[in-house]
Amino acid sequence: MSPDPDKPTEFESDLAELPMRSAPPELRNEILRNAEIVEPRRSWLDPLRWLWQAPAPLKFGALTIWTVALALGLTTPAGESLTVDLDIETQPEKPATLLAFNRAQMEQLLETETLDF
Amino acid sequence: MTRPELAELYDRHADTLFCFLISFTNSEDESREVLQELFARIAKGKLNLDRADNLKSYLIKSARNLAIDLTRRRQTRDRTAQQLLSAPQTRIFAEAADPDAELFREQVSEALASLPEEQREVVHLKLWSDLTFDQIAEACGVSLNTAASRYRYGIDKMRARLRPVYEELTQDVA
Repeated sequence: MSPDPDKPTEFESDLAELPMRSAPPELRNEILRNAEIVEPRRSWLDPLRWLWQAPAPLKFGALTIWTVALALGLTTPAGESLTVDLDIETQPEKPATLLAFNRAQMEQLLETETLDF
Repeated sequence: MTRPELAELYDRHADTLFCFLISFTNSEDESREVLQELFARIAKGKLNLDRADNLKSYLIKSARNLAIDLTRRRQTRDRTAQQLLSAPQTRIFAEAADPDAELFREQVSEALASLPEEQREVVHLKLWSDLTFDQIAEACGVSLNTAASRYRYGIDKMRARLRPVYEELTQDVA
């Protein structure tokens, strides 16, 4: 049976058992006395950093909530301009009228209005 | 980080870091300086200890990087002249009451100091900082195989150099 190459030899074990010296005691006092303790700055990126380091299920949950919130945001009254009620059954003429009106209005605007930047 | 937390961190890791730095730099003065700088940075919140998988190997890696920066800054003619005049301060072991044991520790220190830097750091981290090869590879920025082969080369050289005194010591004990 060949010896395990990862197993430390007796020589290595003997060396590893040698006691290490300590850092000089005066160095401890000096370091702790001179240390300028600074609280880490708070940043608006902290929640993102926290999320980045969070476990995968938490990340997935946060992403789902964010996606749902975004989708809801697009369909709330604030996004009214994006959703036009096109009830074709009851108002079959409305889409065409609406489109025609918008087109005419847009053409008029382009002819008469100047945009002041 | 509060001052008591910093003190606790120092008490837990300073001896390991200090001895590693002596091995790495071959200079007690530089080791003190690097240790000061390391803890100053920790106090200022410049090192993100929360992200470290293994705190000890992260601190060793940070100390090593600081030591490399310091060495680069000081690579001047003055330093070279100073090094030639002064013997390296390489003592990393506690003093022994028994003269034979003390002689052996001195010779181990010298044998370690005589190794090339890349072997010296790996041997030190494996034997006396109790890191795995994975952690050593991460701390030194090398592959696992490189770390392991550097260790083998280093320990073989030390064994060859220390054989006479080691055999004498072990025979005496037997």
